Amino acid sequence: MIKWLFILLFSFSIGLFSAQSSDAKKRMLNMVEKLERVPPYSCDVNINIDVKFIRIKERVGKMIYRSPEDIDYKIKGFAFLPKKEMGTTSTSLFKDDFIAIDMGKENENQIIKVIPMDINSEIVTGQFWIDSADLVQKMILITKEKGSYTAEMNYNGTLYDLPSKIRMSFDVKNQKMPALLTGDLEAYTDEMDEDEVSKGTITIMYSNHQF
Amino acid sequence: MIRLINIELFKIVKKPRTYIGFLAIFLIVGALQLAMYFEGEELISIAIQNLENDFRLEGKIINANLLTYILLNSIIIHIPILICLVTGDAIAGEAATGTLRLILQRPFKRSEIYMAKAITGFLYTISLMVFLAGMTYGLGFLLFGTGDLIVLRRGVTVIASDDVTWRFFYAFCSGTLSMIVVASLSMMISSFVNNAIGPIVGTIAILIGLNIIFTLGAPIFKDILPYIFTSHITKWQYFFDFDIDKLVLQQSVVVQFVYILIFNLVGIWNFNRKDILT
Repeated sequence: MIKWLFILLFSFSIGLFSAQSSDAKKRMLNMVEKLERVPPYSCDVNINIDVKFIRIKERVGKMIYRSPEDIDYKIKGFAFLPKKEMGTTSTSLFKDDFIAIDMGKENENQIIKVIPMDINSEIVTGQFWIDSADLVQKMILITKEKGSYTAEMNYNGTLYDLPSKIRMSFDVKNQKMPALLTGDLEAYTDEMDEDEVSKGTITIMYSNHQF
Repeated sequence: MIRLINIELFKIVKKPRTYIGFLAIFLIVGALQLAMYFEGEELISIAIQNLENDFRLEGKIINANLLTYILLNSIIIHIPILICLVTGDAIAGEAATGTLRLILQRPFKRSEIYMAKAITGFLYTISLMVFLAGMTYGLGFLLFGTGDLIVLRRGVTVIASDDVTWRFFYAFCSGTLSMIVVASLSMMISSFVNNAIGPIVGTIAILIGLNIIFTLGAPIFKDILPYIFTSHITKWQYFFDFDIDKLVLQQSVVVQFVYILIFNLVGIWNFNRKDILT
């Protein structure tokens, strides 16, 4: 009797799970399709970086978008930008087959977890917070080797639902340069920090889109 | 006094060893910049490979500003050697050749003669530093152009290209002051000995010795470090911080002026009571 009850419960859960996955997957695919419809454009960018060991003032420049995999930056001077993984993984995640699971709601946003089917995929899992207008408000990507990336988006009604601001957080390992290489011989006198991992953020503001 | 300085300047200009310093800087700067031109990307990527793991770096890292910054580090050992070649020879060299006796027969005070030699040494030091600055930036600009300066010092500081000129100006001034301390030291040693090798080797030995002792033993000597002149040779790096520690720099200037004063006073005192036997 217990055995039959268990089988019934298991079948019911599978059915429910598949149904949720299929809705979530459709929503994710719609979102990707919307992103792929974005024509090439350029816009002004303001980049601010907040990492414990990096001191750099705001950088301004232009971003040229041709496709999700082909984004160029023309920055005045030198700039630290998020790794390519951050910009393009969200789309590469959906290139191969994936599982999408509805994780419920949080502040009116639907949470969808995405797991790639390819065992060798660099991204282990991704989680997306999608609002009622099908805009991604937040996403977290967990990668095999580069730690985790979090991106929070803001929108101000730009065409094709492009974000006006993205705030990316990621794990950064404290950098230690050999004193002989940097010429900073006084560094020996300072307290040496542990090889700690801290959170770094890069905030990019987008404006003046030209399609 | 001005006449004495002119005479000393004339002597320096006529000595072939005066030009060794300029030639050495020309070769060092030329060799390093050519090496950076051909292998620079690889060399720099070793230094920033950790950064490249976490970020996508956009822009030109190797430029005239970075090379000037790197080459300014040569004032720790290389430039002092070149300075000592001339300043260490100022008194001891003349004592060795026997011309010191002739000079002292002239109607000038010994302290005036010493000061004239010291001021000439300082002028030579300044000219060497100006040449180093012009050579590093000029050649760097021709080969690599300008750009933002990335300083790998206690983390990473990126300074915009339009914000570096005044920093380099003060950095070179600070470096020149440190080199004047070195020149004063070698002049002082020069007044104690009768051959030109002594002050050169002696000054360099003191510099290297103090650098090693106070770099490796920094935690032990932490409290006396601010009062050791070798620890001020790299103080120019402070001008490339976002928030410049003015107090440390003011302290550094005072300490170095005190050293210049002490070395020269000891040198004058010794020169005044020195028996000229050669």
